[in-house]
Amino acid sequence: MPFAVFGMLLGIAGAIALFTSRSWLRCLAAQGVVYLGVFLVLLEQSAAGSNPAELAAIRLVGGWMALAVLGATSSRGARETVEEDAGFIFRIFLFCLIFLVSWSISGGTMQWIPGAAYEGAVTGALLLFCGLIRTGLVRGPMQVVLSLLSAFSGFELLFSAIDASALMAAMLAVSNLGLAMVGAYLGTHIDPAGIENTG
Amino acid sequence: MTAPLIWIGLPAVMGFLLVGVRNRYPWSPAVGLATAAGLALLGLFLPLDEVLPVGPFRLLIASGQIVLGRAFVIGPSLLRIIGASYGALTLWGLVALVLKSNRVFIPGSLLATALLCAGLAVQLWQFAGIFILLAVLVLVPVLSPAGSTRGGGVLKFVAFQAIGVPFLIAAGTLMEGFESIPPGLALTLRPGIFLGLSFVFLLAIFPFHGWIPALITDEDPFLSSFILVLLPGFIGVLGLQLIDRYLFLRGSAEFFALARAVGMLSVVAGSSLVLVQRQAGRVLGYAASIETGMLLLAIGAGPGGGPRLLFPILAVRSASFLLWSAGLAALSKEGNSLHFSDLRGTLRSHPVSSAAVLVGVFSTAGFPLFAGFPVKLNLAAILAPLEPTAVFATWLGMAGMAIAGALTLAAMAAPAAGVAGPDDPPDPPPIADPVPRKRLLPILLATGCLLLLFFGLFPGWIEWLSATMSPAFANLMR
Repeated sequence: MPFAVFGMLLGIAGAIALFTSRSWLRCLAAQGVVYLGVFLVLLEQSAAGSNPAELAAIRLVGGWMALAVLGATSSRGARETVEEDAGFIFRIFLFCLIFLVSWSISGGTMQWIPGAAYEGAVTGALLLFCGLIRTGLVRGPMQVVLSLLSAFSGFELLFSAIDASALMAAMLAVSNLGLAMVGAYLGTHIDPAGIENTG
Repeated sequence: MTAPLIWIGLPAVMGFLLVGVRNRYPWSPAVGLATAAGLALLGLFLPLDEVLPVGPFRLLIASGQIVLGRAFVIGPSLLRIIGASYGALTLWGLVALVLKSNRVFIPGSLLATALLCAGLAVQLWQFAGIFILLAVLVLVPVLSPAGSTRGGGVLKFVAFQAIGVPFLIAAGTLMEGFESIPPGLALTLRPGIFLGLSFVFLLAIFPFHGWIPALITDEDPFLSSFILVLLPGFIGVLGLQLIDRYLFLRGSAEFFALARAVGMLSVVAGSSLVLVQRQAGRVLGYAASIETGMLLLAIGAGPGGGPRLLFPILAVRSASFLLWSAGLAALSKEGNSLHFSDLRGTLRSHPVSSAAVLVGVFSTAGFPLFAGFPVKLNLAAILAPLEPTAVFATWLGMAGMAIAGALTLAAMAAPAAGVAGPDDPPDPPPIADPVPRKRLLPILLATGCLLLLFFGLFPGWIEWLSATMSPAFANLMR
């Protein structure tokens, strides 16, 4: 249980940093922390019959590899910052709202997803909602992909409670990697200033 | 030898290899096209699970293949559907080759089609979500080639499709073992909601359709249009597979009523929005929304109705959009922005491309004599006893598209800015059709126009498609 609580705290901290930070490198680091949090929660929450450490490790390594792909591209000059079209105070307010919603529906989430632990339900819902809402707030391929990766990490956290398949975990890791490659590909030739918000 | 290896493994490997040699023009696309054409012909005519004498050898193509513990099964009827998909891909690839479109188009679309076929063939269908996402990701370089600076539409496309995929995976996992559960149980509510959400995102149903006009405005209309045919087609077939498989879906009148309601919403919203568009590419985007609504109305027509209607709708959509978007791409390559004000006079200066656009629009509208007409008529006839409002929505969608077609015609027929009046000296001789370096394009477009007329006059050929492929949904056809 301490692992899961610590993982939940890391997940929340990572989500706050990702949601409010305007620096690209800090956003990348925040998502890295999110993956670490997800790993710790997954160590204690898995579907029956699965090996928690194996599934958690697949998700951590897959997630960090995706971030490495994005980071490698950004180091070659394709950095993006979060545009100032949503102010800091607004973002903090929005995050608090999402956190309250995720926390208040955690009971319902645990009922809907049999096998989900409290920490997994809160962190998973928080990351999922934060990722989805952030997708509509940012512009630029790499920022949008980072938001999608955040939403996916929340989904994977909730999904691991009902699916014990290592193959599915590996396929999801491949999807994360594919998303990161697409973000890196688009990030190298698209001007973020020239596109509208995704939402 | 197994069917999944031939129709999924082979094109996937070929697509992957051909991406690497895409600059060996025109050999690389020619090999890709030959692969797609070969798979189409074999898929439409080759029997499965039967010993075939091939000279001194005997060949048996089995329908199933196990990969990493997961079964991929392509039965005879699904093989016809997959064969038809590769056939459509061959036609799109041929036009792309003539249009000198993005060089990644043929290998990328071959790989994406193979991934989508894997999504239809995999037995644990929650993996279909992963295959759809991978296909979407593979299509990104097809839509936005390196060097293109605009990509907002592609980004929205990826984001909306990626959001839909987790819901599909979750629904698939929750529905494991639900095949025989009757409708009406509370147990089916959760997976049903997840399934509905996934299809809303994946099919870009109103109000989650925003990426379609953005994509078609930002990117090449031909490439965007291909996506608007490929993905809804495969997702529609996947939807029908699921309805066929699960009793709680195919046995529920409420489910079909919901599909009809969502279809009507999509048709009405699309036909309202298409009327205010003044850019020919965006008209095509909203036409895709209307057609997706029609697809849902076809699925909502209930057991028996769905399989009979789905394939003619998809076939006509593919042919009409191919012609329409190829015409737009040809006009766009001549420097037109595709805004109605820029299309003035194109009917005189580029008659074949303009005619292709107009035939595509009016066929999609279901205008009499074109291929879309018998299909829409059949849809309305099947829906009439079930829900008269759905018939009204169908007519509304057709009327919206017909008005959009009339506006496009008016824009193309209007005299070009700066063109002389009646008292001025006579016009110079008409300019040759766009992409003059390839005389093949006007020939292809003219052939396409004639074929859409032919299928409108002899709709029995479209019915043949339906008769060949609908047995894939044995429970629904029972």
